[in-house]
Parts: sequence; C-alpha cells; structure tokens
Amino acid sequence: MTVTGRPKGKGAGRTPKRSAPPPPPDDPAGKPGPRFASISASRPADRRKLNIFVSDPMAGRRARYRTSIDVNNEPGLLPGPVGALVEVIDYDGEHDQYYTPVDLNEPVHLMQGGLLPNESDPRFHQQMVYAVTMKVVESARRALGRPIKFYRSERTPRLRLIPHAFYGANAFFDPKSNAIFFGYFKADSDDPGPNLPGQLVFTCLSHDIIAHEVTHAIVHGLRRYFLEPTNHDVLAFHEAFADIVALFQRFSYAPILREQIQASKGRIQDQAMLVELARQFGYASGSGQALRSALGVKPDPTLLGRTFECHDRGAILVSAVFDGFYRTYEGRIADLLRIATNGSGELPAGHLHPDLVERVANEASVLADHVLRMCLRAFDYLPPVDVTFGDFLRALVTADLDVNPEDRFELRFNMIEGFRIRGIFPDGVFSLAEESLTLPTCDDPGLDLDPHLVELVQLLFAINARALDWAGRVVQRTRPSSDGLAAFQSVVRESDEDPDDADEEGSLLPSERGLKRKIGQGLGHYVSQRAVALGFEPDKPIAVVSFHPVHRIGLDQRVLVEFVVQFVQTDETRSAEFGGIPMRAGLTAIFSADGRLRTVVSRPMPHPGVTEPFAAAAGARADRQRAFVEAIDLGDPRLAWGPDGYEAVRMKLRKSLASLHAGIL
Amino acid sequence: MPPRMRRPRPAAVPPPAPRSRLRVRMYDVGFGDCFLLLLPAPEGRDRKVLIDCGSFKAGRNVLADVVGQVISDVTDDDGVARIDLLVATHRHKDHISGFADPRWDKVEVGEVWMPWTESDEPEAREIARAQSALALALHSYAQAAGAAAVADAPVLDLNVGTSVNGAAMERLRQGFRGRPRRRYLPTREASTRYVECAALSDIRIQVLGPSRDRETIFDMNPPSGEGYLALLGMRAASLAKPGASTAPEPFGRQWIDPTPSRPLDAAARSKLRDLNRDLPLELATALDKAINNTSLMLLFSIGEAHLLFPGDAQWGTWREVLKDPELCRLLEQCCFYKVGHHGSHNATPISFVSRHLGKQRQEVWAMVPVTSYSKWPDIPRAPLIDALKGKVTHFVRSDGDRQADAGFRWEGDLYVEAAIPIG
Repeated sequence: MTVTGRPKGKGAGRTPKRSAPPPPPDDPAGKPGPRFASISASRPADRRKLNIFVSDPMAGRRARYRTSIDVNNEPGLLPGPVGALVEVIDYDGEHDQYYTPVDLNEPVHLMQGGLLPNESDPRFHQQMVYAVTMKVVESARRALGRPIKFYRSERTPRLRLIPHAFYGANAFFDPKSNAIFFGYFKADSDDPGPNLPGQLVFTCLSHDIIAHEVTHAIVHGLRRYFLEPTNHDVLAFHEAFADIVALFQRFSYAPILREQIQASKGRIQDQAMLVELARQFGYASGSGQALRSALGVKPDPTLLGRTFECHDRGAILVSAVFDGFYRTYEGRIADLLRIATNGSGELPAGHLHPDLVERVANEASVLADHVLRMCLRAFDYLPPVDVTFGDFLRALVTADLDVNPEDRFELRFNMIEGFRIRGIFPDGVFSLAEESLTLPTCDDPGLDLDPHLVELVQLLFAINARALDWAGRVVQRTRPSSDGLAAFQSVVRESDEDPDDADEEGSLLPSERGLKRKIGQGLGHYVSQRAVALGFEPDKPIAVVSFHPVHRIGLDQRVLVEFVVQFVQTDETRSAEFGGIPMRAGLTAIFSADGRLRTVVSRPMPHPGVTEPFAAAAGARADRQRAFVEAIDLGDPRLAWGPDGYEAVRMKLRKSLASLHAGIL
Repeated sequence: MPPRMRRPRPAAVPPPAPRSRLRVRMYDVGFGDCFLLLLPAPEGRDRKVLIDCGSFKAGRNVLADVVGQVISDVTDDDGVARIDLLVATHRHKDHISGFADPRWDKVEVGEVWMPWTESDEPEAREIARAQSALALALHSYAQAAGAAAVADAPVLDLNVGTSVNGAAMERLRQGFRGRPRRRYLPTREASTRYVECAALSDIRIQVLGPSRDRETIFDMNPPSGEGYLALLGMRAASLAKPGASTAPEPFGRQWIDPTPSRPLDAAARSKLRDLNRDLPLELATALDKAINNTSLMLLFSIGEAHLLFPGDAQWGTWREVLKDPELCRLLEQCCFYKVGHHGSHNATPISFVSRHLGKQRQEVWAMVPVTSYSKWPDIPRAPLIDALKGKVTHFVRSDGDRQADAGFRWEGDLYVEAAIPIG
C-alpha cells in the first residue's frame, strides 16, 4: 500500500500554500523541463564540513588531533547554531551572560570548514558541540533505521546544548530541561592531569564528553525509564552505553587511527595499541577514568559482583564490548599481516608501509562503525524498564542474528566471549550459545495485531521509508521553500490526514501525527484486551510508551522490517518502598511487518492476578529491587544526615547526585 | 621525698556462686559515646577499659560532669585514677571531645589505642591530609555561611569540628599519666586480628576495623582534588557577595552578547543557579562517612562472653567483617552490642541484625548512646531500633527511661550499667 493511494478521497498531492513548486519528477503529467533538469548543478551541498578537536583540547595542541568531520547540511541553519534537532545556546550560568553565537553560513566559515580550532573563541566551541552532536545523531539514526527525535514539548522542541553552562569539572544531560550542560573549570594546580596547571579546561571541547552526553540524551529518548535506578545495572548501563558510543565514534575517524597505527611501529596486532587510543578517551572526565582502568586489563569474572558505582560498573560493560571489537579486529587484519610479512608475521622495524597502515586503519574503522551499529540496533530488543547487562547481551545477539545470520566477521561470537569472561550473564540463561541467548520467538496468533491496525502500521512503514529515503530528500531540497527547517524534518506532506493541522510546523507533521494518534489508540486497545496474556494487571491503565517501524540492512544487504512497541504499567503506590521510584511493569513487543508478534521482552511486576510464566519473574524482580535499594542504603550516609523527607525520594536524589557530583558519596 | 605509699591491695574475695560479671557502663553524654568496662580481676582491683568520651550535643548532663564522674569511677582505693586501656575509636567530636578536659592529666593510663589512620604511616598521613583539607574547606564555608546555615546542617558543624579537636587529639597522642603505650591498630605487620594488652591478659581482643584493604581505605578517603574544594570556596564567596562570581571569565569581553536572540528559559537558568546548592552538605556528609569508617572496631572475648564495640564504623568496615564466615560466627555468639553511630541506619547493617545478632545466645544486651535531636529525626532510626529490640533480650538508650528494663542498673541520669556474666 502506498502513501498517496489513500482510500479517503482527498487529493493525493496537497496543494502547497506557498509558491507553486514544479510537479514531482515522478508525475507523468509534469512538464519535461524540470523533470530532466540536472539537479546536481542547482542542488545545495549534502554535507557540511566542520573542524573539531578529536580529543581533549590539550592533546589538540598537536595538529594531528584536529580534524574536520562532515555532518548533514541542514538547510536554514540559524546562528547558534540552531538546527532542526538541536540548538546551541551559549549561556554562561556562572557569570549570567551570553556569548556571541556562530553563524556557520557566513562565507568565510563555509570556505574553511567553519572556524579553525581555537580555544579562545566561543564560536568555535559552539561549532564543535554542534558538529559532534550531529555526527553522533547521524550514527544513531543510521543504526536504528529511523530518525532521532529530541522533541519533548512545545517549549523544548530541540535538544539544547549549553557549552559554557556552569563552572565545574563536569557535563551532564538534564532530561527535565531537555538540555546538555557543559562545565568549564580551572585545572587542579596539584593534579592537572594532562592539562597545564591552572589552565581553563572546557568540557565542551572534548569530543568524547560531547558524544557521551548526547548519547545519554538519545538513550533517554529511546528508553525514558532507564534513568530510574531499579537495579545495579540500570544507571551503569546508561553510562556504559554513552561511553561505547563515544569510544567507537572516535574509532571510526580513520585519520586518527592511521596516526596511531603508524606510531605503534609495527605493534598493530598488539592490544595495547588500540587500548592506548581508547585510553586517551575523555581525559578530564570521571567516567574516562573508570574506563581507562577497565580496558586492556585481564578480565576478572568476580569484579561485576563487587562493583556497584555506576561508572565503574559501566566500565565493565564497555570493556566487554571493546574486547569483542579487539578480537574481531585481530582476526580481520591477520591476512594483511601475512601479506605484508610474506607469511612470517614479523613486521620489519621502522615505519610501516603507508598502504598497510591505510588498510589496517580502514579495517578498524569499518569494524568500529559496525560495532556501533550493532550496539544501537540492540536497543529495540531491550525491555522498557529495569534493564540489566544480561538483557543487553541478549538484545545484541538477537538483533544481530536477524540481519547477519552468518556472522562473517565473527563479531557476534567475539562479543559473547567478551561478556562471558567478565561474568555477564542474562537471567535464566544457562548457556551462552547463540541459540539460547536469542530471545524466544512467540507463536500465539491471539497476540498478533488486528488487521485494521496492521493496515495503519504499514502506512507508517511507508512514511518512515520515505523519511529515510535520500533521493526524496535531494528532490525536496532543489525546490524553493520558505522554511528549510520544517522541510528538512520530514518529507511527507502528501498523506494529509487532517488538513486543519496542516500549518503547524516544527514538530511532527500533521499527517504523521494523525496516523500515530490512531495507531496509539489501536495499540492501547490491543494491550488492554490481552493484558493478562502479556503479563500486565488487567483493569489498570497500560501506557503505550512508544512505537516505531524499523528498517534495517544487514551486511549481506538483507533487509529487515519490524514494528517495535513499548508498553508500561506503573504502580505508584509502592514508590515509597523503593525510595521514590515507582514499580513499573514493562513489555517490548516486536512485530513483523504483517503484524505477527515475533518476540517479547517482558518485565512483569507482582499483582494479585499475576499468572505463570510471569508470576515467578515478577516476584523475583520485586525482591531484587528491594535488595538493591537496601544495598544502596547501606553505603549512603545521607540517610542519617539527610534533609527532611530524604528517605521517601532517596533513589531519585541519588540519581541526580550521581549525574552531577559523581563520586562524592 | 617521702617513700611512695601504696596501700596493700585487699585480699581477693572470690565471688560466691553466680559467676563473675563484667559491667558495661554507658554514660549519658547526650549525642556522643562514653563507655566504661569494668572487668573483675582474678585478684585485686577491677581492670578498666574506657571507650570514647565525647559529646556533640548535651543531653541530660553536661560533658564536664560526665568526665568528672568517669574519673571518679576509675579512681582506685589509693586515690589514683587508673585506666588500663583507653580506646579512642575515631576522631569525631562526639567520641573524643571529653579528652580536652585538663583533669585527664591526672589519670594514669596503661595503653591508648587508636585506629591506624591516626599513625605516622604514609597511607595514614594521606588519608588525614585529604580529610583535613576537606574539613578546612568546610570550615571556611561554614564561616562564610554564618551560624544560621550551620545550625541548619549540624553535620557540617560536627565535621568542621574534626579540625579543631586539637586539644583532645593532642592529649590522646601525648597526654595522660603513666606514659601510656600508644598503639595504632591494626598494625601493618599484624598477621592476626588478636591484639594483646598487658593488663588484660585473660581477655582476647580482636581488631575488626579499620581495614587495610585497599577498597575499604577508599571509603576513608573523602572526595579530594581541588575541584570540589574550589567549588566550595566559590559557594562561600557567593554567599558573602551574592551575584558576583569568583570564577575566571572564560572569554574576552568582546564575545559577550548583551542581546541574545534566543535566551535560555528561566527554569533552565534557575537549575544552573542551584547546581551546587547542596554541595556543602554533600561534602560534609562524605567527610563524616570517611571519618566514621576509620573507626576502631573491637571485639572483646572474656570466657564465653563476646562484646562488640564497632565505634561508628559504616558499611566499608562492616562489609569486610561480614565477608568473613569465621567472624560472622563470632558475631552470632556476641552477648553485647554497642549500637554504632547512635542508632542511625548506616552503621548497623540490616543483615547483621537479621542474620547474626543473637543467633547463638540466650541473653543479649544492646546499648545505644543517643539523644533525640530535631535536626536528625532519623537518628536513632526507628525501624532499626525495633528490629534490634526483637533480637536482643535487653535494650537500652542512654537517654532512656530508668524503669524500662530490669536488665540494667541506672545511676541517676549519669549512666546505665549492664552486668554480663562471663563465667
């Protein structure tokens, strides 16, 4: 079914209210002129080059750690920069003042990839924050197979990036403000790390810190309850995932890899070489520290059982993924080594042949990109609440097996190994064989979507496909538009559901909005009809937290289309018991394109009518959450000294403390 | 010079049928600790062990009166005040402030035990350095913030005090009569937890904490680095002069945009303004935890009786203890528990109460030195106190009601005493 062929009798192509554009190229009635005009002559650039530091500004003093990356050229980018998804607001809360915003469309900036790296010009800071953010968003979009949205409310339609928000050695994502606040601080005069004593350090100039915080924002958009500490893994997972994305994002910049590989003088198969690169990660940041000590050391399977600080624990997960990456890299370059050494495996002393460096760097960067996608793809298979590292492993394997059954790189195998030797196991899985890690498939026709709902969902598939369709976007850009921003957000205007909404701009487009409302209602009906079968408490509201189509392309060009829905049920009455965090039941349901339920990831909660197979899991989960709160209480001195009412909301407050003043308590 | 006269000790009269008892005296110092153990000697005078003497906030008695009482209670028939073993569990005011009293100079002390973190070892100096840097920063903050702010957050006061407990610490290190032997425990070389005390040779004393394990040492180190200290200083400065920042300007004045076209909303700006509002309290609490974790935790075994004095040890030290199955068995045999940290939740692990306490004992005493304080409604923590009462046979609070439990003897409001059979 196509978008334009809607059985509603409305005109397929809505007449635009602005200047009449030429008819679409696929319109057979169109005039030949515009149809055959070469678009490459008039089309604006797809990509915009921007200079950034690739590591911390201090390391950036050495020219080679500066690079330019290219990001989508957003039409109508405003000074700030203010784009469709994110906006940079250079407000300094410490001094209560604003700094001049950069206009990246000024010719001088267009000519040389924006401003040149320069610590003393706030406009370069703004540019770098914007560039790295967009790069990470792009990676996430590609891997997830759908656009990333930061829309939270009318007041905060975009993610705000505040590069000099406060004075302090930290940066953090604040979901409530829909903003990332970056701090700046004076390096310790006693322990400056790699910085000059007393020098000002800007967290917004660290590629890894930006990538890390943006990932927090992306993860929060995908799983809003992953900031609720319900077990030891939840916040650690948030930290770990942010580090994984930042780390592999950096590894995908081939020029840096080339540099490092050449500098290694032939130790290209030495894990230390890659570890060294990873260790330059986020130097001044707290999580970077935990990570540095976790990478490249002999894995200790007992460590997980006694590490609970969320950054330290997260570092274990990052090192598992890094290990999988490294093992795969080793396998991938073995042939290159044999060729380069005539089979001896002994590289000659001195400089490596640039061709070899180029090829090895390429392998590593392609692989890094692959790991990044694999990790992001796993997201659709995670439960909506109460995630564990084990869930991530299962999701990783399930998601990858679907699109890459052959595991040509052996990446999946190596990942499992990386997790295994660190003692990361999913609950209820006794073997780490691929088959047992894969989520069980569901085979109950009673749980499939109703046919009319399937129709609506397929419509959404079509819209999503068009939003991802690059050719369509190119055409879009060649046409005049008074508001480039709105046009960029989505290209679907033809399938209007509700013409009254047609003039709203900025967020979801009306057609999509109307359709989504209907699907949301349909899914609400679907789940309330099957509440017991899906492990929920009947007669109690169940929220449809999110639903989205997924289009994925595997290594062998295999295409996978799925429809992923998250349902959540909340029991506020038990919040006090868990320190202010309500008990929630959650279910991620994955449907095939024709509406059959393929698999579910479920987190039931106890309720009077709970039945097997959910009852046991629900009971165990409540016990685990209680034990978790107790364990945290033990080490928290604030429970004794804390302000009035601390106890009732302590888990919430601990979370905010962890994000801001990590390591104090 | 007249010959030193000493009265002959009265001949030991072996106690009749009920076998001898050890007396544990808890003085009511208000919010603080002061315990005296009186051990019957095979012959001669009682042996005396004093564990802590300090108060943060007066209760029914002023501290000076308690000090006077303790000194008179340890005075032998020859008029000389003698303490065989004096233990200062950790350097918090509510445990040592009483030792600032000059009357202690007349008291003859056999040994003074302190946690190893008070020694001259490099690791100990490092911990002390970090703790006092933070205490000093909190002190400056408290001065800038003024009395009202400190009164609102007494934990600040308690921990600022650690840097000014000078006189008490000085006496513990140098003072008392009789050239007491100073020991900082456990020693680095110790191969066993047992420590011999010359005057108490029939008593086995085990040192359970503070640990020298790296992970636990970490719990004794407060957050360091100038970062937090600088923030604290800035917080103090902004209290003194609101609106003015002492932080360096990141850019030249030419980059300031006086008329931003897209300003940040008020909610986000106020979020930034309040970012470090709770920092002083958080840091004070962190320092408090760090110092509590240096607590000397002792287990006395006399015959079949085992008595646990954990100081104010928090989870770091407890974690180490509860990891050891052999120690857990001993905890189950304890017949006396000094409730740590005035009955707050974080110095008595739930698992210790639910799994170990009283498990292998008919009769168990628990004493909690505390006085209710409106600023800390959770001290003592009601659910913990209830759980304890369910596990022990005799429970008492230092500010408690005299009629509450027949298992104790009250001496006015001054102290309450338990007599524990040791036969």
